[in-house]
Amino acid sequence: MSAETTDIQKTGRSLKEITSDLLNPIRSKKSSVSLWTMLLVFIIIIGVYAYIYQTMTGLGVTAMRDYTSWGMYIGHFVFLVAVSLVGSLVTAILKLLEIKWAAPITRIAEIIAVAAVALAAITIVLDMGRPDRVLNIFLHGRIQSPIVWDVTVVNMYLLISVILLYLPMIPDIAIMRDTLTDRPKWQRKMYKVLALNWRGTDEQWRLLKRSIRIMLIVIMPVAFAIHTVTSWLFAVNSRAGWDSTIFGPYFVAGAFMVGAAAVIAAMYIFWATKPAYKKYITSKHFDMMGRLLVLTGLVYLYFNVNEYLVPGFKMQKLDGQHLMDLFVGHEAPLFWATQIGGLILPVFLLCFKKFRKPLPIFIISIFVIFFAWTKRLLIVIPTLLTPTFPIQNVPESWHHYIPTYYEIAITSMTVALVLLIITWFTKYFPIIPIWEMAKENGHDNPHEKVVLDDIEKD
Amino acid sequence: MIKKLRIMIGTNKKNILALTFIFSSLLVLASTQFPPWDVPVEANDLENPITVDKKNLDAGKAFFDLSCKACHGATGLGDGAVPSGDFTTKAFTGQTDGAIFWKIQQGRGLMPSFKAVQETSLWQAITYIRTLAAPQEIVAMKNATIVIEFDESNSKKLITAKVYETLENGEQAPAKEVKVNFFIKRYFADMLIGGSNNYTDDNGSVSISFPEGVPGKEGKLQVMAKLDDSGFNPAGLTEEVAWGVEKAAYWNDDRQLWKNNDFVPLWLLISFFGVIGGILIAILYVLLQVVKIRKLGVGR
Repeated sequence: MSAETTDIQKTGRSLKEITSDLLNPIRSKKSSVSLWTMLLVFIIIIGVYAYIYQTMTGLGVTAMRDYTSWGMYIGHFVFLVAVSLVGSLVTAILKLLEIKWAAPITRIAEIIAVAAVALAAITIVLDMGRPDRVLNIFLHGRIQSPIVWDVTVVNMYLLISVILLYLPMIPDIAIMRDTLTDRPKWQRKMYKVLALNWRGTDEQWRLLKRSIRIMLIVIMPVAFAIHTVTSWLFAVNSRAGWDSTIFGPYFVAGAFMVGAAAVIAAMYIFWATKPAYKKYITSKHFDMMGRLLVLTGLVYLYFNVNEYLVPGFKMQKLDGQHLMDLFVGHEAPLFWATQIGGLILPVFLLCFKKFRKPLPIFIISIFVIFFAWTKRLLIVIPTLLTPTFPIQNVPESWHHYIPTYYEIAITSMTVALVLLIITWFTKYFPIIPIWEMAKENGHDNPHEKVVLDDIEKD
Repeated sequence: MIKKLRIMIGTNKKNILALTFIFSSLLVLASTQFPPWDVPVEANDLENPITVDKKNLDAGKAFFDLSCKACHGATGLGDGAVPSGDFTTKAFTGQTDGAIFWKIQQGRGLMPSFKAVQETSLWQAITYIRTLAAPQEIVAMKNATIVIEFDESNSKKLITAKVYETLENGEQAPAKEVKVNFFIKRYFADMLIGGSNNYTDDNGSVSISFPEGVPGKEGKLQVMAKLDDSGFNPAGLTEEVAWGVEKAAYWNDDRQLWKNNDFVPLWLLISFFGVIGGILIAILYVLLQVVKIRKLGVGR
């Protein structure tokens, strides 16, 4: 080890320690499929079977009927889009504001974003009775239709998210290319291709930092667009509960809240399962993310008050019917559980420091995520059951919407796929950025290539 | 239960995984099994008050086409949009008219209740439904051919359909008093023209006046005449005629939100492609930087 690196050690951890800590999960020789992965794969297999059956039989196997033509799938789609927005919140906003503590969790946020938005796109196709016609939206779609805008922006966001996940990872991949020489051939080849001849020269750094910055700026309007356009799918219809001018910001605020909760939950799982990570993800991160969750929660609460109080004050015929259904009617238990358990209580509890400790905040985040999901169902379904003309002369079951096992199996499959993508990712890539940790510990003096010097000397 | 499960497995085509298979088979069973449908005695003994004649069969068919066909299928095999009862099975035909009448009125599961419908219509529908199981026993179904003629004189457009029934000896004779519906083909459901109450005269022909101002590509319209009679097998004919107009009277060439892609409002066109273009340019620029990064590392 050279004299420089020992100097650096005084200010923080050595490069060797950082790389070994963060690459440890990838180095691990355990190649056996974990119980966790098997569980996910099992859920996916059931989901795939249910989907094949649904495609062969038709959407009649779902509980969607004339009135509830958008059910669990579309609610789930909105939820996944909401979760994916975290990529822009944690990565772009916090990074551009140069908020240093967020550095170790940016990649967690980005991989959640990529996995969630990819599955959001797939969920739309799962809701189609004729998935073979999906290309028609590109071939014959009308530009005037918000559905075309939505499909466009979802794909755009997926593309940008993948780029923004990849770019900051290039220096790390280069480290893996140079150090993980005992890996299988295909894996080494993958690192070699993805590392793009990265040598950490000044010029390479300059180009990379500029590219990252451009993408950080580009992703923000696209992130706002993806969820605003998703909200327009509802808000452009003059129907009770959807006919709202604040639906765009209402959705974006809710998305930031559930996104923050998703990062906390993922952060906790990495924190709890990999002891080496505890040096990088600390109680400070949980504390700060907790504060962020309170902030986003308060903004969302504010929009909720607007969204329910204003029409509730007027109680126009259909709006009134819809709101009474939510407040005291058929949907009331779920509605109040969602509003209290998923919004008011978390915001209140997280105001206290002791609830921002890792385990309590993890549990609170799980509640926030679950109720964020039910909230999306409450946005989509009760409105459909409050049509302009009364529901008449239809079977009793069409008056309600209770998802079938097929819908549950297929929806669970998409959740399992999100988790599997994240799990797979952590097997091959460091979930905490190595070079950013190195930089935090003073290793960017004068250039990041010391990282490589150090490793080559080992 | 096990027997049913075997049947399920036997009828399904592809076994992917035995486990998931049993799992979903159970789901299917759970969602489609109904207990026996017991009909009250007095309802069971109710007699069909109407007589089996052409008028009632036609009315029954009209009702069937409107309210039953979508689910139970055109020939009543239960093969429509939703899995439903098969009208040709012994289990179905073995019931009294009264039992069927009671069940239609009650409804169950996805089968709606028809209590709001006039009773006569239901009895007529039942009479027609009976013909689906054994058409020949109740009314001998005959075959027919249709010819369409277009006649434009004195600025009046007339469309005439001539129906010829095929006799037992193979010869053709004009079919009298049979119902013919006329349509113009369009996207989705075809457009009914001339009302739904057109019967052939003694010469087997029926005429309607053709509506003015129907838009079609280069004024061309696909006109259909369909035999819709309970005594005949379905028959129809489609002919093209240039009696339409290129553009409907209400049409203008303004760009509008509700029109197709050829008439997108300019502001929308510019915003949509402007945003996409801007983002794609940014992405392209970044990709070029990435290529540069790659080149910079070559040979080092």
